[in-house]
Amino acid sequence: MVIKVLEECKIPLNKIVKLREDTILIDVDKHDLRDVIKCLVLEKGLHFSTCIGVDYSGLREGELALVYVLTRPRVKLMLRVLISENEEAPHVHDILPAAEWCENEAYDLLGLKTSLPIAERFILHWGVPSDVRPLRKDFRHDMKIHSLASCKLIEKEGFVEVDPHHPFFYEHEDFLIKVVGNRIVDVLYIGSYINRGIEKVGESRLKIEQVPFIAERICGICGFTHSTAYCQAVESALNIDVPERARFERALMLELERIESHLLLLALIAYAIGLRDIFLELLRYRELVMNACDVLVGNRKMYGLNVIGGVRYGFTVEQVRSVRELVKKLKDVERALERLSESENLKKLKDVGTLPREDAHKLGAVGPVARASGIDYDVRRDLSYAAYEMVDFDVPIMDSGDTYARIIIRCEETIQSIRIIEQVLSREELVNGELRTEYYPHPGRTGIGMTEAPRGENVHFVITGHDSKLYRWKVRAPTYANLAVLRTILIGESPKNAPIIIASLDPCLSCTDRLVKVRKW
Amino acid sequence: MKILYLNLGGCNGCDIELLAGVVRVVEKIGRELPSPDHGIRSRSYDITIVTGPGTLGNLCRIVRDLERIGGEVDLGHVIVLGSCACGGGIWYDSYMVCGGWDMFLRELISRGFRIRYRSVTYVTGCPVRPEDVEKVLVQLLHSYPNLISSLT
Amino acid sequence: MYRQARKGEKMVRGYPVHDPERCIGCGACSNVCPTDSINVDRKENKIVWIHNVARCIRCCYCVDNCPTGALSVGDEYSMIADSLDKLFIVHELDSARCTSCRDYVPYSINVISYLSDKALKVDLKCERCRLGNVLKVIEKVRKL
Ligand code: SF4
Ligand code: SF4
Repeated sequence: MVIKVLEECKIPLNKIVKLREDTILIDVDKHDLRDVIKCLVLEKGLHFSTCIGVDYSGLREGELALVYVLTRPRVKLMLRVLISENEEAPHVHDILPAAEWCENEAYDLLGLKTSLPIAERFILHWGVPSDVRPLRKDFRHDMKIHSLASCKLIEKEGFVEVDPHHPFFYEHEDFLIKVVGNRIVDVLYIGSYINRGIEKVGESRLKIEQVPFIAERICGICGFTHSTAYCQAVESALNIDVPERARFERALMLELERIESHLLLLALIAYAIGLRDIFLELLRYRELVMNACDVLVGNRKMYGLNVIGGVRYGFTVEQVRSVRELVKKLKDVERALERLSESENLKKLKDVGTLPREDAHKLGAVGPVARASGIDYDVRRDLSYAAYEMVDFDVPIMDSGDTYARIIIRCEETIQSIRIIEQVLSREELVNGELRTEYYPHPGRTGIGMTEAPRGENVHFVITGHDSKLYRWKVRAPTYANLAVLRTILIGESPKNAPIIIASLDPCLSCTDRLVKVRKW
Repeated sequence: MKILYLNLGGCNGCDIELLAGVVRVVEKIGRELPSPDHGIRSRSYDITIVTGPGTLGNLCRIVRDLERIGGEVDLGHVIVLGSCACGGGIWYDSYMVCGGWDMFLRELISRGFRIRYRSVTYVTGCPVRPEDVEKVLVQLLHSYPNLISSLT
Repeated sequence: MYRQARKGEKMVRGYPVHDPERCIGCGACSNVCPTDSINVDRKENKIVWIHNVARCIRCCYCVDNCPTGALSVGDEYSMIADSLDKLFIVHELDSARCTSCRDYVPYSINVISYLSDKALKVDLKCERCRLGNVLKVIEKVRKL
């Protein structure tokens, strides 16, 4: 199937390397790249995930590369463009806006040559000296650059800050909007506050089997999905098969995490639209999920369960029994969600912040945001992983693409997740069987792992290196893709709706800002 | 009572547990806590809550804040939450991270800012547990009765 | 493997508890710790095991990898203090000695009971003496 599509896009078949059953790597010539992307994404409708800059100098002499990742059901496609040091890097973001952030990120972190007018820093903090290119192999992860940096903020005229969208806490990123009359006419997002240099630490200080712990700490809400995606990437690179028990344990924790994340967001939305009792009620249900995690792994967050090739500890029958009790209580959340979705205040959000299907595809939106705009794409079903093949669930889709739809989708997903959890808890495999497979970390293998995080498709790309370390690790968190739609959904809206529209994307900025960006439109 | 809440680039884990902890404190003492400042806007605070390892971006944010208010601040009682803020956590030696509250403070002081505080409490854990947040906050409020009485 | 500590009704995965009576000072824990919060310092005549609880992220990966069972999952999750110095756990272990030259070897004295528990004959030698022995054997073989 996919081979036919590739042929139609004039990709020579001898350039195709099949890395695994579902992973294909193709070396594409720099000059063909634009045509290939245009054909595959815009005509054939493949989903564009991300692109990755790689400094190959430690594996092969003096080569750089850009890897574009595309997906369609059951297939992950990597298009690799090799470039030499003095050559100008290719770009496709003028025909495919979704590629803009990741391309600029690669230019910035690797110092690729480009003729495009990218001003100051894009990903790194703008005060960092211009010769700091952290993803080059000669850059040390523990170099101290604080003393070098200047803290001047870029001044932007005519923009005002949006109120923090979380009631008690918020992360530091600035959403600046420009207002004329009573309408938003321009949006500026300044991130870069939470860049912790995770990828570099994972590539240099940590060993391959320690990285799941840092991957988990990318995000305090959806951490487990990151460590699962990372483990899957390495498992795909090294061709490791995961035992069934580990798959079920992973699926269970992933779904608990999804419920927890959705309930937090829905609670905050309820608070924002003035339904304080539903806010407290949803938080109480969320506590049940936290307790379930506590029972299973001994910690409310940061489960520390994943290792490459499986999981660290097995759940016992008693643990499963007490979780089943908690899930029984959790089922009542349906009633609270019903009350939320039927409330008048929520219905006011219909036709607010609309994202048409076309734009969602071009901008590369993922997860509930894309599904609310009618894009039928869910990694759990289309690129099945963990135990999702063995359970039964629906993927809710809506067509209107407005803020209301994005919230309703999450209510329905929560209910589906409870359904999955009930099925997993009743399986024998959850408590019997092997926990993990042994492996040997061969250097120079490439792999890609994808999961459906609560916020959408989450991509981890790895190249294994020598000394049981990673050579390259790239994380594309879902919010990174979803923030690209900000401008489309905000422009033309009234500024008083801006916080709730932004919140309906469920932006998780600690994920996104593990790298950083200064975004100018 | 004035609360300052500094998220210095953590992963949100501690922040959400802090929220859960504060809900418990409010239930226990029966009074609402005032909503906190997220950046340094005033020259003196009663309680400062810190999470996160202190990223370069946040360092610059605080530097800008301090420049705006004249370079001098009294943080009151500082509560440092989580492994990141206590000792830098898993990214303690990353190029984008100062490595915990102490290093962060040193970085600020080396830039010539005058920062005073009355006490520091380090609460470890990754993430912190709401029980601990509750315990520390309630203890603090009880040992300084004037803090409680300033609540409505 | 992983043992869950019970604290009343709740189970917690606390910070690792170190038993200086069993630790042989091999340094496996400090090697696998993702945050480098455990340090096994080899001094002249002793081995200092230092744990920085402030930085520890409670992953208990060290517990998985300790060969002797000196580390176990604690039932205390939080440690609250008013200064960072109080958040260090320091245990000093005496180094064992080589049975030939009486020099210190890079393991603690617990290594003897650990090995004899495993029903291994203990003849603890420092690297120099061990190599010296091998050399002597090689010499002998040559002369033959
Ligand atoms: S015996 Fe266990 S605690 Fe002692 S140094 Fe080795 S791994 Fe660490
Ligand atoms: S629990 Fe984890 S972070 Fe703490 S000392 Fe052990 S390995 Fe290191």
